[in-house]
Amino acid sequence: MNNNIDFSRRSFLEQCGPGFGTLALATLLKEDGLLAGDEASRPALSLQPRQGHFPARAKNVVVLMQSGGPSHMDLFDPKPDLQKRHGATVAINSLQGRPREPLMASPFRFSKRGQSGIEFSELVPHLGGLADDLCMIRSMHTFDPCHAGAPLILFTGKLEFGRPTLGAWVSYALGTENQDLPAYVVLPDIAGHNTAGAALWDNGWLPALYGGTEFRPIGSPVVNLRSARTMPKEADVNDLSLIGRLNEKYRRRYPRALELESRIRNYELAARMQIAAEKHLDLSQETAKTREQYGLDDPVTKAYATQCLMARRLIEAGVRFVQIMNKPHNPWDHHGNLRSRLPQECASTDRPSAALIADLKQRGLLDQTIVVWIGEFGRLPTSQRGTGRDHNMHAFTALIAGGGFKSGHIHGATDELGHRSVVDKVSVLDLLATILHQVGLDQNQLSYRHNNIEETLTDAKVTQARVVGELLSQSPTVA
Amino acid sequence: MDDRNRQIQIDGTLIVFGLYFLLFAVPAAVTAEEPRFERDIVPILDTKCVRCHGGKKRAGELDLSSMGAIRRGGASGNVVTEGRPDESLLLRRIHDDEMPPENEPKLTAAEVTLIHDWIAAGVPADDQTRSDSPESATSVISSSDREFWSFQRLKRPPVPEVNGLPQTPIDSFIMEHLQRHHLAVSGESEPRRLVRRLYFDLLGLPPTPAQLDAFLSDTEPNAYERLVDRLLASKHFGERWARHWLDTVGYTDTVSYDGDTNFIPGFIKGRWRYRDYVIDSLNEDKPYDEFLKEQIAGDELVDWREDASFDANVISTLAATGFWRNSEDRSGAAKELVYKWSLLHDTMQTFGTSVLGLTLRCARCHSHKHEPIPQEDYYRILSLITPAFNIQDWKSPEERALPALSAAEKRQIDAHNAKINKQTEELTRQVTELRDACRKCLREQNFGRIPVKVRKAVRAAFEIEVQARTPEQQTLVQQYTEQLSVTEEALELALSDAEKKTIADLKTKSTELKTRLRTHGWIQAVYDVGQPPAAYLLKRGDYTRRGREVTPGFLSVLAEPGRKPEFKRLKASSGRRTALARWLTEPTTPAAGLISRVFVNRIWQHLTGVGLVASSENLGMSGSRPTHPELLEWLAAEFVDGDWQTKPVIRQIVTSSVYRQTSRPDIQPPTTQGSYVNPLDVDPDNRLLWHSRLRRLESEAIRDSMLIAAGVFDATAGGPPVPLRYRKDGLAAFDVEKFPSPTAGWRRSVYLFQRRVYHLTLMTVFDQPSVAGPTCRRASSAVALQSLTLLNDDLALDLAEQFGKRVYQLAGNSLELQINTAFLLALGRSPQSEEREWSKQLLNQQLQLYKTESQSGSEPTNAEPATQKALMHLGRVLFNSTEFLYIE
Repeated sequence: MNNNIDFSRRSFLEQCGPGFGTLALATLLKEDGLLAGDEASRPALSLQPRQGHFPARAKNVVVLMQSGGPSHMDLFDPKPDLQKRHGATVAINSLQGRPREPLMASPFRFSKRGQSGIEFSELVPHLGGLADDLCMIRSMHTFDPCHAGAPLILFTGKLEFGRPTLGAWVSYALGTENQDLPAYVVLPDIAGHNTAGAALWDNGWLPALYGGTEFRPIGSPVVNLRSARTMPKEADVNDLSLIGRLNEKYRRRYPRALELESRIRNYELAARMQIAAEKHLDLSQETAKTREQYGLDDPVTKAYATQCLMARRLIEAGVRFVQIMNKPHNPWDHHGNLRSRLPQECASTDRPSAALIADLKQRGLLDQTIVVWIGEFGRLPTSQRGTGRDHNMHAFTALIAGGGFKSGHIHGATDELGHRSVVDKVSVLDLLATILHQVGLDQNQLSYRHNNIEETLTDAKVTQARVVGELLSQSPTVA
Repeated sequence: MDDRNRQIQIDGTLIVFGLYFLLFAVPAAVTAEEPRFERDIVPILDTKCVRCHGGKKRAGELDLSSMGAIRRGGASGNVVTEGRPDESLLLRRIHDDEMPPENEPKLTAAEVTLIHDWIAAGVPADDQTRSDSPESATSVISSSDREFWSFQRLKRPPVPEVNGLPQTPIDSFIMEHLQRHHLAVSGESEPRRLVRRLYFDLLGLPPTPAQLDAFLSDTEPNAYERLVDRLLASKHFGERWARHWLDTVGYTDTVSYDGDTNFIPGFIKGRWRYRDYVIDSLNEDKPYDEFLKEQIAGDELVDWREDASFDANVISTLAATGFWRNSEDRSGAAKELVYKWSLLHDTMQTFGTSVLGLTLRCARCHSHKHEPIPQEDYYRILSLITPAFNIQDWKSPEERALPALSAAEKRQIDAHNAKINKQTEELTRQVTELRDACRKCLREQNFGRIPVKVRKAVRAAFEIEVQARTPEQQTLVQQYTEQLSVTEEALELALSDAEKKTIADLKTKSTELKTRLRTHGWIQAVYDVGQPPAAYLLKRGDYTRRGREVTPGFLSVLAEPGRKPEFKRLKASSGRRTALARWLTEPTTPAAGLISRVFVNRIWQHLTGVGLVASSENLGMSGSRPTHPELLEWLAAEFVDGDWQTKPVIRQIVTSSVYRQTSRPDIQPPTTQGSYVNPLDVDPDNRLLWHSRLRRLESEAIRDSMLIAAGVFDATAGGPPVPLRYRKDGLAAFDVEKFPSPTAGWRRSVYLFQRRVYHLTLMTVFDQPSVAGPTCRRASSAVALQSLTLLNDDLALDLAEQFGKRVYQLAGNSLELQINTAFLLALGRSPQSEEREWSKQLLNQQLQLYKTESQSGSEPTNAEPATQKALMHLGRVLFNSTEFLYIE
């Protein structure tokens, strides 16, 4: 840390380094011919793309959040011992149920898929079809067994409200390619938010610019992008013109107040966003083949397919971080009737999830995009009320595709029943550290001073979070 | 990221995102020094070694969990040799990579160095916290720590003598610094702009045109000072300044889990009493020491357990303890210990930041690395609130609420209600009796319709006990149940008019009686529960790893030599929080010095944009240093000597020339003679205050200004919050159906239902913070969503529409008058000529559009709606103007 303070603007800019002195708004000004030369490089917050700490192996991230806790033993982690010992009583404490429930074998069949021969359940035939493109982590674990807490840890690194999420940290550090769209877009389900809600894309104490912006799957994608009232289009234009005049006049009262300038440019940026958001999310341009591939016209898959297809469009358009949130009421939370409800959930998400990965690959975007399929925790090998499974924070499976992760690869293992991760364990914090690493960021260097504490996403000094090199096709830059 | 984390402190007016930059305040230089055991070594041993070498498990008979045990060594003998790191087994095992064993996290190079240096320094036992001496905490605090500026007793500095004509002592302090740099304060702001600034700063509301005129036409002496007094006496003052305090304590209307749209927190009973307590206290200028005492220990100040009745004072004093109820309490739905402890730690953080201006959080796990706060101090202070938040005798958030009336009054109400309930039950019984008689009669009729030959058998089947029925009887019951049953419709038809009337009368009487049921309100208070539990230091802050017992106490660095904390039981209460409040507010102590500096610094921040200490949440060693230490000291002394009253300090500041100077100084180009100094060269960031700062309004002030300009402002004060509802897409909107009055949606923003997240979009985009703890400085961002929101948000457009109507009412059809009125209402000034022309152009264009529109439809042409619509657009434009959003 340098404690010498120099208040001149030039030195300020020099200290801020590249990626900070140049900014979106100044670029706009420059394009408009309003500013010349070095005046364009003025300090402000920016979404301009910038370098991380070391060369990035991936540019973008897509998270497919599967709220509720998908059952790994029924989807990705077959357990022959569990099948054999069905009905046996073991000492496994559950959260809600009685302390000693009998083991419950998976009612679903597994088979080997692809060259790699990774086993997948019959419920996820499409994801299984991508076996050779996936890195399957069977040894995930987390630190809270509840729907409110576990997702917070997964996205913010801690069981605390009000912290910045992974997407916010990445946007803060790297900016984004498309200056007409936010760096960090969240695609919530039409039906509403899940437990923990908007905290899962909060900027926390990072500047608001870096928080997730919700794009809605129906109607106008961004809140207040257009007015809900009908007014003549020209009336809008007339208003904007007078706003521009008044604000420009006022700006001249304070020639050194840069934020007044950015307020003016914000109206232009807003106008561009109106156009860009609608252009990039117009799914009517997609071919019949693509629609079919995602399941866009099938009522069972339609909602989730729309989110997945929007995600691909946004990645194509140069958005840094896209986060798909599944429907409310934790649809993977199968405390009961697992035999009928798990197939339903798979039916609505399996095809679109796989289509997104395949589509990105086909367009040559998968190498630079990390796609993460993950829930907040897994489920227990014991039964709950004979028909379901209770939460399990000690073991679950995550799927990663692209972005320099190994493909056709299984990492780690749970014990013989699937109760605890035991071999090559990966905590959700380790996964966060590894994703940061792949986009070129060091989990310890990526920090922000808040209430006088140098905060990081993973707090690795305390939590011991580490980059899991074994997941990556090239060994990591840092340990 | 290093580049981005450079510490830079620049003027809030110059930059786009004030808070962002301010976060990089100047910290104290950290000097190299020898490692301290408790602070540096224990955390390493605790995380990397003690799991196997400590507690019950002592691999190799070695225990590294305390100083004594380390010195004793293990099966292989001594592990540390004083001054000889290379001979010390502890370090050799680490160097040879034998320890920690495979698969366990290794020590980092920095950690190895620390242990090396510590052994080289002779294994200093700075730490006695692991011995049993109660005085131990003080030994990790050096005398230079105690000499740190903010930990001193207040010492009033003399007002400096300066050249020129300083109006007030504050001016002298500021001018002294300016003159050192050959600078001076700027001239006074234009009266109109100054008054607007004053209204926003004191009331959070803009002046109305009438209020502006009243001031501008006041030619008597001291017009400005009299205006200041009027504003300080306004009830809106408390609403404005309460918002600042509520931010620093992280106030929400909810007490339990509050995280998503599917679960609307239902448990909000009476939280608002704390908000109103803060507003009222500020309005009556309650001395800050009392204000703190009531919040910290209000329950110990009044005899609420015994009082026969609660007067307003008892209720508000109890409500004051809502101070401790601001952190998210998830211990209701989830009973796990982890939630109870996380509530305690969050509460400590809020207390530390809001009152002490110190970051206590670090000391939860280890002695603070940047502040002289030993870990033990953290748990000593924590033990002051654990009698109330008693882990052994826990109350869920629901159970913790108190009825807003005494136990005796509650008994009376319960007795009164029981009597009424008994009466209404009797009435209900009578109604049932009447209807049953009729039903029985109808059933008999139904029996009459059953064929005679089976009638007797059917009756027998129905009358016999269920278990005793023969299979034949069961069949009969199934067969005839429907035929015999009496429907509600049939019953209604069969009742005679007289019976119907009797039933109606009985029901009316019952309804009438129920209106006499008495209800009561609730208070979200804090009070001691059960016996105070023993307090322990928690290793690494982990509640499963109890360390040694600690005794209640305060911050050692602020302790006065030879004085021990005193605690006296107060009836059913431990008296610990009362002792804490007393310790904080005894005027001549270092503690009072610290908290008064923290408080006046925030007053300065709210009135000028940046605190004298920029990091207003942190006046500790890791915070920024004051730009004007003497002024801060003088203000704090004035504050405490003035009986801790807030208003006189505010008055001092806003009547100074420093406050009154323009935000728009004329800067002449420097001359070659060298006599003139360009302030931009010397102090481009205006740290020395050679002009006033341009500041963006907070979210609340923006919405409130729109309400005032549109003429719809509902000034109702206090009471339950204005209800909001939450759409599935996460947007908050007014819950109009639950409005207590039709205009509730036009009440001040401080009265809106306050959740942790999900604020109104209009508020969120203008940086109303997510409430996750204390917020001492609001962000001031300028993002595109703000433009979109002001342009298109329903609430903004509603208000623009109201604004249009109002302008039309006031100005009629005269275009000139309309424009003049609109500018006065929105910006507090008349339009300049080009603005007038532009506005005319807009109104004409919009008028044309709407006239064409209505002509093309079948509506008759009518100038009035078209004009009002056009004026709505002018309102929309003015609300979107930068000038509307800023305090000059």
